[in-house]
Amino acid sequence: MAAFENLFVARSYESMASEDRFLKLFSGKILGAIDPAAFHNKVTILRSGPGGGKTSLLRLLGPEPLLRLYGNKDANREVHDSLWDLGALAEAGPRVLSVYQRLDSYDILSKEERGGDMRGLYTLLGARLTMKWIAGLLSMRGLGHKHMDKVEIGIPQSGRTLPGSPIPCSGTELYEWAARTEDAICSAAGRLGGGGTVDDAVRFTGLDHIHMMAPGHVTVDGEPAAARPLIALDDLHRLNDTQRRLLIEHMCEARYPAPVWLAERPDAFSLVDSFNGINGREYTTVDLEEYWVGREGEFESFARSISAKRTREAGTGLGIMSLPPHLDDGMSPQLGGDVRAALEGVRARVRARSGRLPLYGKWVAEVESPGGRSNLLDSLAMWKMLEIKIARHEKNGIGQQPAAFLDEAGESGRIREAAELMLCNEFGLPYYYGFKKVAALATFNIEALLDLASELLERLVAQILSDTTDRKIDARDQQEIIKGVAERRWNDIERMNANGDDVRRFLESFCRFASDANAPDAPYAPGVTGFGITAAAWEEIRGRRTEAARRLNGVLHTCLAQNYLKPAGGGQGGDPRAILHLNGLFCAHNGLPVGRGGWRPRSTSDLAEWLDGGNGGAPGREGRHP
Amino acid sequence: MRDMLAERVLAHVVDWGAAKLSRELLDLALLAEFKYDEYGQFSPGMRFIESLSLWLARFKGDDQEAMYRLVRDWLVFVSSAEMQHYIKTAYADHAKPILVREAARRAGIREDHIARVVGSKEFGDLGKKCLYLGLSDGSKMDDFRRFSRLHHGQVYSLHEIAGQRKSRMLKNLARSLGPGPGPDKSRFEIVFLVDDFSASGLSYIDEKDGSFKGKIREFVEQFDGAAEGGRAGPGPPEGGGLGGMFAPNLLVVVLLYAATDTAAAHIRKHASKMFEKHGIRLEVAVVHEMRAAALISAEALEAVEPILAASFDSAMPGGGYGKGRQQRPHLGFDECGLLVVLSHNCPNNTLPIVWRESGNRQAKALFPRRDRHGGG
Repeated sequence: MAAFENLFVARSYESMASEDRFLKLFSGKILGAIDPAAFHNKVTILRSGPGGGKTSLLRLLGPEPLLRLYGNKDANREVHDSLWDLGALAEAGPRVLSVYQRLDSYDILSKEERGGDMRGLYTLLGARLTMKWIAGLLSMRGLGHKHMDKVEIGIPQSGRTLPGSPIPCSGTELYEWAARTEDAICSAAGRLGGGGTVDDAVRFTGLDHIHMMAPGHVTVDGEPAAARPLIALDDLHRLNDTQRRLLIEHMCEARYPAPVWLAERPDAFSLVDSFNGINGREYTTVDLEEYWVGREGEFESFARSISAKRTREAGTGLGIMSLPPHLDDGMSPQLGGDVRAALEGVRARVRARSGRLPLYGKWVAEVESPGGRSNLLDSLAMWKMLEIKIARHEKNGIGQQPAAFLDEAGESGRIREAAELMLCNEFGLPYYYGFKKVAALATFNIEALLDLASELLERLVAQILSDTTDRKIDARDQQEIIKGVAERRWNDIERMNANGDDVRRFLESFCRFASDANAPDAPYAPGVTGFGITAAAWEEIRGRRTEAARRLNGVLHTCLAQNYLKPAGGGQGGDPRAILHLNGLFCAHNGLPVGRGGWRPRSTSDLAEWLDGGNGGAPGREGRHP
Repeated sequence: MRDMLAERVLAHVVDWGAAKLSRELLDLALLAEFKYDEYGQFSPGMRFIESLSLWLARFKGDDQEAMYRLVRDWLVFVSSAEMQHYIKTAYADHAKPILVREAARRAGIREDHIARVVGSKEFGDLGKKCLYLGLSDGSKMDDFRRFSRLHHGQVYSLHEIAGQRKSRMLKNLARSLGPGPGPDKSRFEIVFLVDDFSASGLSYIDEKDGSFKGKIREFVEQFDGAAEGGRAGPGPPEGGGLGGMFAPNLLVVVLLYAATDTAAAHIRKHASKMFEKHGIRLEVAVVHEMRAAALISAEALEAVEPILAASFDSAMPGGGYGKGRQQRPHLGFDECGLLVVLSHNCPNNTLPIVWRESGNRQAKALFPRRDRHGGG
């Protein structure tokens, strides 16, 4: 019998036992979000919520994974081919040398109140990047640290040198010089307790180390170093606001001879970007989650690929090769009775109303014809959609000429979603089930997807171990598992955040508002899942001039950073708004539709009311759809 | 890595259904991985989930669920990592503060001026006049010595010391103290009696009809009859016994890595009484003191007691089991009613249903116990 390891629990690159396993589990489809231009001398900001795949992507470009892929494309052919297309791999070997550094604990080096003196931070960062770079050069040749003498660094062609550095010199000399710089800054910062300066302790070098990393004047073991450095700085959001802004500006202005990738969680700046549209000029933003918007089918395929890789590697020994085939599509025998009862109920209601207009009679006849309905669930959904359609027609005025029942482009899918959700709430039928919904609930976040898949795999294994001959998880059981995961995440809000009380009240109020916005005629089908705020309102909140604005600023900051709310563009038009949609798992917890539904405009005073559990105004008549 | 065979066996033994099985397996796999699989008395190839499956097969229906919940919710497993942590901190957090207090009093320095006290000659001398003796294998005196950086001449794994060694110990002490005090001043002033775990305290000291038994009494017996009326005063080591080894104001510290509050109170009460007439002071220091009443709730125990009683093999376990209270022997030695397991063995104060195989070994133990005489 096999040794089973639930690999959906393994999260980040750091927790993977080996490079081989990391490569096996990595799905290359996310590389589609990267433009080949990002490998040239550009600044790229990678953005995603926690667990969105930033760190894994940066680490993929490290020497070890690239060398493995170069040596054995079958380690992960999909990733190999994508990297080849992006120019990171070539006939001669890896073309990119990622110099990775986390921006952790740097905020001590330049306090915001000191006007953002970045010299200490840049010098420390430059020293660390230099050490990582030398280690990377050796790794590219399969050499260890003891061979640092085999690295020779000459004067860069640009003629730029580092003040005080021993260049031209060996790798050992440069490494030791960088290590001394690091020691000097760290011990000075430690002595000062972070409250003073390190001005007198070291000779500042800025980030000119990056000029020195350009290929052309560097040899390893007598051979020129071919791979171009790619500066990969992770956790940009850990810097304070001033440091973050200055670092981005510096990287854009300095035009280093290397691409610079900065990875961060979404925060207030992602909203600013959506208003001022600087993206694409000074730097390029790649939102690893937003990338999938409009590509939902591709994301589902990406999710299936992740599921297949992790299920196969998990080694259950139970013949489970992938999760999706084991998720019931809703028509299990256990569910049949409930669906039939609901169908009878809805059909009777609709038939009772159909006599009001001959048109309704025609629609009923259309629904009663068997074409296109494959099962009871389909029939039930159609009857419910018809009920919604009649409610809409009656609300808009009986005399109005309605559109034909089933031919509204794009609308029928949304009404079907709304119908399914209403049936779930009215008859207790499952709504959150099937792999498509699982993928949608993850809101394009890998960690959320893994959370859901992990629980589903555990249930499947337990089901098979219990000798159940049915190797599919019932739709109701899927919903119970999904709601369980969603509830845990919801309950984590207060535990994970200093302002968790505010955040939870705000989101609870929003969910009440969103539920109230839903009516029998499904005006914002499939339902409201978001709200929009204007640039002026956002500026008011960011200004923090009132207590409410201060609290709102904190709440929105937390919601964006923790992926509770996802910004969804909306920067165009005369009245630009930032649209924020609720995370899919939170929608499941609160009985809201899966995926992005409609949104409602809200003012700062509405949002302030939500902070204290208020209504935040009525939904209003103006409907917005995705 | 989880063993699917073991999980399949468990799935066959219990009737949980997939939803509950998946929840419980996650928790059980975690418990097994982090702690329970390291239990030292499992037979080769056996690990926690297999053992749990075989053990649960003893019970049917509601009894099975009740026993599972009892173990799942109330079992306290002291892992080897935890025990190592207790050993690491035993000297620094429990023995050294006693030395600081005693030295401060002698040096006339405030006890909270720790650096001054530790830098004083009194502290240095007193440190040399301490003896650390193990009361059982579980005391792991070699680890204790390494973590506390004590001189090996002060640390012994046995509390009964052979005659020749006594002379050597005193000579070493005199040498380490230097030329200052005369031989008559070279006496040990503090003895630490170290052990791993006590639930009732009965094996350390037990009083019946005015006479005492137990490990502490065994230690005292070496004082040239001191236990029965003599005195642990100074005297030539050649005189035999331990009487000549200790200063008149001897302090005995029973240092336990883990113990219940009941055990600590019992030792304090009875050992103090035994020492009183000899002028010996006693202290009990426990690194991890467990509140016996909180280890398992009275309601939880009451709910399963009929099952415990019905499953108890009428043949009394060996190894001194009969020395404690025996009205309800199914609650463990001295009716302690504990659910505590140490990584290397299961104390006999724990419910026997957990550690005892019965019915010609047909009824399996969850954490089989091996007593110090080699039996189960």
